[in-house]
Amino acid sequence: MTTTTDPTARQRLLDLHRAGALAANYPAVRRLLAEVDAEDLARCGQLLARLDPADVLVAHPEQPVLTVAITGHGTVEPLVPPLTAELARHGLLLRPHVADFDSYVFDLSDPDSALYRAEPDIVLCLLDPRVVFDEVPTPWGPDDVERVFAEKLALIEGLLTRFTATTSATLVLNTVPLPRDRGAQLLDYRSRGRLGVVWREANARLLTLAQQRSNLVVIDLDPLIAEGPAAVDPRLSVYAGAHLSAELLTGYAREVGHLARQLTGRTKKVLALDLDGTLWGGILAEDGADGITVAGGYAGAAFAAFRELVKQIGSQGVLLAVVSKNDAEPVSAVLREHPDLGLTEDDFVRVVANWLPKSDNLRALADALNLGVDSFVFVDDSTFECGLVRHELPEVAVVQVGTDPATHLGALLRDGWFDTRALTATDRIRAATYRAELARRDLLDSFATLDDYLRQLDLEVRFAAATDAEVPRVSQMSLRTNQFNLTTQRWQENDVRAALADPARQVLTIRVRDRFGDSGIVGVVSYRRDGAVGHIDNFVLSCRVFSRGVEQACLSALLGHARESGVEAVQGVYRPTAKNHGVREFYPRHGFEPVDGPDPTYRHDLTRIAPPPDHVRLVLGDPVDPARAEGTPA
Amino acid sequence: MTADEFVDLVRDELGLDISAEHLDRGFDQVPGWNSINSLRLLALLERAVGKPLSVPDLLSAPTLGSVYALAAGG
Repeated sequence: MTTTTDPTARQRLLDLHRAGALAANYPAVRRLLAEVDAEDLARCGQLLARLDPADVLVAHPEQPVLTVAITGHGTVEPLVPPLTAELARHGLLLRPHVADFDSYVFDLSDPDSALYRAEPDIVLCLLDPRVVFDEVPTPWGPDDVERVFAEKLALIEGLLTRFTATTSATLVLNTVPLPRDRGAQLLDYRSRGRLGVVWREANARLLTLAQQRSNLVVIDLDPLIAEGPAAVDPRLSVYAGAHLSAELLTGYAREVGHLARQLTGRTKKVLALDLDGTLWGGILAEDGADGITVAGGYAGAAFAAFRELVKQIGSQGVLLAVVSKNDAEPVSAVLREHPDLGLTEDDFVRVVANWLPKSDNLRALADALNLGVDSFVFVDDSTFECGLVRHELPEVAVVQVGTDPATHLGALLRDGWFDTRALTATDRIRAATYRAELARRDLLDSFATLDDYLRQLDLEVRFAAATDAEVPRVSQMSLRTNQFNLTTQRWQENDVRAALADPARQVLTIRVRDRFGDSGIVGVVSYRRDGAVGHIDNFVLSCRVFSRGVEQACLSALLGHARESGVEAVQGVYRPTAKNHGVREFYPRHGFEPVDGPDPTYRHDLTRIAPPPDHVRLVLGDPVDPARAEGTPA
Repeated sequence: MTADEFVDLVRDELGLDISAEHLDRGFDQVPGWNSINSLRLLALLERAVGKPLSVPDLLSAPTLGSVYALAAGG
């Protein structure tokens, strides 16, 4: 099943061909090919294969080009058009060297052959059933096949040694299909079965060759044939000596395209996924977390299988991300809480859920990950979103999944976007590494942004002794504040008044105002002097003014005041509660050292007192004192 | 199928740069021609006319014009 086809893409390519303008417009070809389906891709390949690569390179010297030598047992020319199209899809220009009929032994064994002289990046040696059956006598039995195939394997190993000594190119072999019309010539099941055994053993040995060699890839044709195409087209085989069908070569070319991607550093690294209609059925914003189709029923099972694939891909070093048009919180809730999803926020390097254009989100994600957008694969079921991303970010590989989730899996796997030669230990932990790095960057980013924000806030902090009029508010703050409340000492109004009346104690209020307005009292500090030591009995701050430097400014002023008054050290206590773990590090972060005490207790020796943040204008003393207010710009 | 449609088929599907005047010339004067193209053209013609054609007849045809005659008249 194909995804969407733009009916005009092939037509536009055809128009360029008719106008003789394909070479001049070669950079546009990749984008056009992204929009055509498999059948049209083959037709486009016919046209592109007529181009002289030299003409393209004259017009576009920067165009990446790959020299591929094609050799084999039979006529190999039919591979050129599909391979041209597949490489063009990936932004590569094919410079083919097409060997003569049945010349692979000579091509690969003579170091001075035309094939080696072409200085190929990749050498494709097509192995077809006739490699073996051309040398099997008539009549024949399984033993004949076993003997001939073994001879061919020995030959190939010798060629491989010569190849390795001659070139740094990558050699591509393939397993050899066993056509039914060979086995069917053996009339007894036992012989037919034995043919299957010797054939598969020989193919297994071919595959084994590549396990130990870094310059050899063996493409297994069995999975391609399992998809449906006949391995051999009898007319092409008999009349043209081309012993593998055009359909099979199309699939083979696709695999070579993936190999070309990784050899040229084009392997995709990030899988960015839509949610609604892609990872689950339904629309979260409309159907709610309970209404989306996650795992139940026919469609649910299909979505579940697709998510398992996503997880499988993610486990092999590919970074997973969500790019969804949704509100962030419901998406986060589903990922966190849905019992059947099988994917959590931890599986994704980032979950982007907002209403910005997805192309913007992909670009931002690429920046954050320090990767190019060309390392992204984007999966979505929406024609609009896929079209937008194709248009805005042509380097992104767009996989449009259809309306039937049963086909999602095949659509994503159809291209080996993430194929790689070998996985390393680093690949397996890459997602975690990237997540940690993203968190660090986020922190940095938020500080940078916050700093700019704070500077233009025109923040004024007044830190002064509480007045009688302020008693209710001071009490209220001590009762209601849970997060930034270091001892969670609760004061009724009478307790506040008693404290105000105690000459050994000071109750200080924090008022904040900025260009947007006056927040009133947002904090309370209770301080007491005991001989040479000052004690901060409590420090309370409203969550409305967190992270603005208010607490640093006040603490700095308090410590400075203590030193001036002859105190040698100031101590503070943190009494943990269920809610105040956010200020667990408040004292140590501000220059206090831990000391012994019933609760975590910290001590500042007042030798080095951090100054107030420079974006804060600190006003000390009585807020109603006109003399002090005067020096304060409005 | 008209002769013009036949020429368009060869131009647009095989990508060969031919015109109507190539119909009467030998294959050695058709740029880019080879036996693989013959078989590709056969498959295209069979699809266009909706019936199987004889490969030996087609391969022994001396000109593109005679291939067209096989498909159109056969």
